[in-house]
Amino acid sequence: MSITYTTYKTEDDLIPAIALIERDLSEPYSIYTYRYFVHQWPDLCILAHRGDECAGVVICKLEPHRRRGVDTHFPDDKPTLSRGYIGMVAVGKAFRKQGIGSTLVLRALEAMRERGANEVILEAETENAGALALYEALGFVRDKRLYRYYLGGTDAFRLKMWL
Amino acid sequence: MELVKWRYRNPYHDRRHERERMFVIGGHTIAMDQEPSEDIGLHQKTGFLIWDGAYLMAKFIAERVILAGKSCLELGAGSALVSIVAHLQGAGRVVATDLKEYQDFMRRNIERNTGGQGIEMRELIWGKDTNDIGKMDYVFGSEILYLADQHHTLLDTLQAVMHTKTTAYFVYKERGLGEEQFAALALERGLKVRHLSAFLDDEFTNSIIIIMSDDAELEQLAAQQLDIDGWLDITSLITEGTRGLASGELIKVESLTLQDAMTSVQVMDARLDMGMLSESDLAAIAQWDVERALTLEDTLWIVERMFSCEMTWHHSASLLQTIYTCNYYTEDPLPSGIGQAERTSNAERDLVLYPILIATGLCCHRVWNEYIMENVFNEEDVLMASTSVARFLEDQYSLAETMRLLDGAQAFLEKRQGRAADMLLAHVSMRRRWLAVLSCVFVQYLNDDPGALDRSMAELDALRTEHDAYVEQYAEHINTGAGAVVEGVFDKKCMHKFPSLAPIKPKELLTLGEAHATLGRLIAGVGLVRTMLRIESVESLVYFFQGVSRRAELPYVRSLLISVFASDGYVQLAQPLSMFVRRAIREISGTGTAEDRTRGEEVERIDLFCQEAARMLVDWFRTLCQNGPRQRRIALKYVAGWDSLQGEAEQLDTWLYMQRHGGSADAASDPARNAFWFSSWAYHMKLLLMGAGLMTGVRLSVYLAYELPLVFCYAAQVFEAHAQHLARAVEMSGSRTADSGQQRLWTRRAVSDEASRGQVGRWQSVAAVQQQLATALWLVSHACERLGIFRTPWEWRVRRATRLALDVCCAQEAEAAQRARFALRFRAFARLGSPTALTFDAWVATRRQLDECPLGDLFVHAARILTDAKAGLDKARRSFDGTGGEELVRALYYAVLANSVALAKLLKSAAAGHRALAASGADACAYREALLNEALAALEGDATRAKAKRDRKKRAARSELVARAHEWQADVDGLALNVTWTTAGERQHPDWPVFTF
Repeated sequence: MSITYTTYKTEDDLIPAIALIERDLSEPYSIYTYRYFVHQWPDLCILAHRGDECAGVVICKLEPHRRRGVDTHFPDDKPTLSRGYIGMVAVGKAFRKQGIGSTLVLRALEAMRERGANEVILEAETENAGALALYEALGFVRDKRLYRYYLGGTDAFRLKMWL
Repeated sequence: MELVKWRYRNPYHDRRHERERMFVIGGHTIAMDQEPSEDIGLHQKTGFLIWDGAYLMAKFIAERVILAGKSCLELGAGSALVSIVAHLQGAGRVVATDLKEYQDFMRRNIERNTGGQGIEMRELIWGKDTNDIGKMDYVFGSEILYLADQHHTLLDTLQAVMHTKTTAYFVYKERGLGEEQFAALALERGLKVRHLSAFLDDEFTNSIIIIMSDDAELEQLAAQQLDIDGWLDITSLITEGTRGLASGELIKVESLTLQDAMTSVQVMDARLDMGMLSESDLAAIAQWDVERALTLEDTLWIVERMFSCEMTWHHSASLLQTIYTCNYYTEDPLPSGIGQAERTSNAERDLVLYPILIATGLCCHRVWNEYIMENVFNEEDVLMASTSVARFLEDQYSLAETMRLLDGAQAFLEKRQGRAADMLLAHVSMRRRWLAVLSCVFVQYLNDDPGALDRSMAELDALRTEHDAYVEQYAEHINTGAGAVVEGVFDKKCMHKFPSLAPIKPKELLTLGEAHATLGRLIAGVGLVRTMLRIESVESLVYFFQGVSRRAELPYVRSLLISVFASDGYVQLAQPLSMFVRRAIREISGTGTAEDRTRGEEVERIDLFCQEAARMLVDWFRTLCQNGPRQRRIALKYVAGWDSLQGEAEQLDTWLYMQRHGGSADAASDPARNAFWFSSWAYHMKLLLMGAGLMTGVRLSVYLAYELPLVFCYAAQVFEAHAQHLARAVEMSGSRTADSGQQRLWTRRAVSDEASRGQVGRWQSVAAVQQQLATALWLVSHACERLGIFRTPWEWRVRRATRLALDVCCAQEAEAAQRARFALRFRAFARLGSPTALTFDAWVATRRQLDECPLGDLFVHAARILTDAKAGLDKARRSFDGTGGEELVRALYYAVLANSVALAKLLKSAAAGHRALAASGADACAYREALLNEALAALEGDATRAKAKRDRKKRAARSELVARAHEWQADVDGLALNVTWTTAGERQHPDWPVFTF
């Protein structure tokens, strides 16, 4: 059965997706964290389904970001950039190795690009080789290393991609 | 009409922190004041917030209770929201009661909503006189049952105001504090009680109690429709809430951030809801009796466990998860027999355990004092809970008193036999020394007492010897963790004793072996203070802090080093920092001092510059004592600062030249005539920082494998500029005949020009080797990339299954994207005046040039460069002895050697003549290109089945390509080219990767 991709519609979409995310991610999130994302940026929450079963989800946001420091890429008179943020990505155990994760991310990138994003960032654990490989194969680079970023005490990489 | 499933909790906003809240109840809009504050807790100030229960009670009486003309009493009213609603619903007499402290607050809210009419305010203490309130028809109490010990007095008051038909409503939330016992108590007193089963919010189900004195009346009341199942008409709420909005306008609070959303989880005050234990937990915790008589084995186990806790704390765990978990530690008050042999009935506890625990507490307090110097980062480096460690007995036991207690412990233990006694004796002795060290190296102490450093270092040496001996002697015990285990002494849920602190994800406790290793590292780290204070020259200080930046991972050590270094009193008392910098400038640039320095303005301007430079130097050293990622970020930020300092220095140099030689501006800006000593030094520092920024990035794996050629190309350029700059400085200082007569104005220690040149020469040799190493690694990494070992995202196209993926990859490969990546990756260097930043076009041209070379040539060339680098290091190595730079040289040496060996192996393996190595970059590129086109075409072929004919052709072409690819792949595999980072070597020279083949 093929995978279908949809954007967030109602909270019924969210419940199975939360279950997926909570199984995989190390950080605890409350329902409000999810609502914060999906209510403000429903278009940037993309769900993958096979039949009725939720196979994967990506949850993102897109906000202006004040520029700090200098660079020669963006014109100087542009004080803020539109920065996309990939908050959570999860793919069910039974659905891995089928490109669902990268397709979700790609669709999210595409959606953010359409909405005028200049750059997209996310954080990933330095130990999480799978996630790093996924994003880096798409062209993300490691912008910063964040010391003891996670509650468990592990470092994170801030990954960044310019659209 | 809008019917919604009603929920109280607001996902977007935590209203507990607001000073004003609005409620719409029974058609009335009610504006209420709140007085949120930090110290709201179970036993104080709860009345200043409007709790959910009050709101629900207000809603309940508005919806379900007919109050017209009735008399109502609210107990524990706080803000009196319920009373206000009762009044607005037409109740006859309304009395709001609470403690005296809430009367003003209550009055404010009542006046705001009723104009002060119709509600009486009374002070009422439960169980005392009811203050002439009389009998009431209704009594309301919202969330006032959380103090179970007051249930009796509350019932006394309740019964005093009830007549036969009085109905009392209580709403509560179960917080595990015994709220539910209230109903049972009421029953015991002959009152009739019902629970309301369905009520609005899950959290309050079964939490409304109705109490009456007559059963029949209660039956009758309960028969009415009192339950509210959660479906509410919110038409009025919506109308009210959206009155200010235009049609189609959406509500999004701008101030709502992700942080807000994540913290708005709790409905109630976190401090009330957190850390509540079930009864079984409490029973388990209560099992341990601190009065229990201990054996020496028990004591040893507790002491060792505390030691592990202490060391885990050093690794940034929370105090609440480590030291505070010890039941002896949180015992309050402490037993009176501590340290008093004649009065105690529990000698092991009072004469051995407590003295060691108290000393441990004092040690932690000392470390804490260092942490609050703010050299390390809250949360990032150490977890600083708001509870101070004053609890650690600082005020009860002075240092002298604690030492006396330890003496007592020693005397007691010396009379005992056995291994546990011996080990405890060693613990007492080590603890005494560690406490002495920590006390003496504290910076204020050092400032006050010049002899403190020597004393603490003597103690440290003794401690090191003792600790080494202990670890050796009891290795088996330490590594296996054998020995008595006393269950119950440590309370993992000790957070319930400190409910005002947020729960933190627990960290694993270190094993005993790891704890001893940590103490070893702490001892070595504190030892660095002595090394640092002995350093005479700034050059060596730079070496020193570069070493620290890689090695000192414990926050205490990092903090200690920087606070001792940057302290006004201690180091700089002997060597004022600007003096230090002047000397540095002299050491690095070898500037002559022939000029007359008595001229005021000249001295003033130089002084000003030196102060600024000194400040920046200290900032940089401070940075080098931060955690790695921060080092990199700040180093990259500071580069711009040093760039502008260099600009200021150039102005100063020009001015000085004109001042002294009276020449024209042209002559003054001519580098052939003017040596630019000050800017020369600033440039040197800036280049150091640039190199450090790049190489720290490599160390932290911030650069991806395919970026390495670019990074090393950039690094090679920076190091080259550095080496050339220093070569020029050597030359300039060599061409001057120095007059050393005025030297003492510049430095306290006479530095000969010879020595100065030596120092510059050393830096130069380091920079040269760094340049060679970077160049070699650049060539190697370029070759690896060409061999397809470092895959770039766009090359992964072949594996992309969808058009979308292909598009993104193509977009990434497009020149604009590469250009953007380049600009942003090296943005810190983009606008520096010098060295000329590498541009994207220059980089592309360089890469193209390299592509022309056969791979074999690249490897051979890299090997040759490494050989030169080794020769250079061999020559220079000796001259670093005693300068503090030995470690840096060792690291470089290791990197050069390891990479040379790896390359030599490859070149020897008869692979040099191999086709893949002989192939030039153009061949490889063409091959890659073909492969990629194939993938694209295949995808498009899939999409258009109609072009079957061409497909056949394509298939033929494809099979040929695949065959070629296999062949090529086999070649590469045959070489067993496997690029990995040498993890074993990483610890010795973390800045440089070693490519192994």
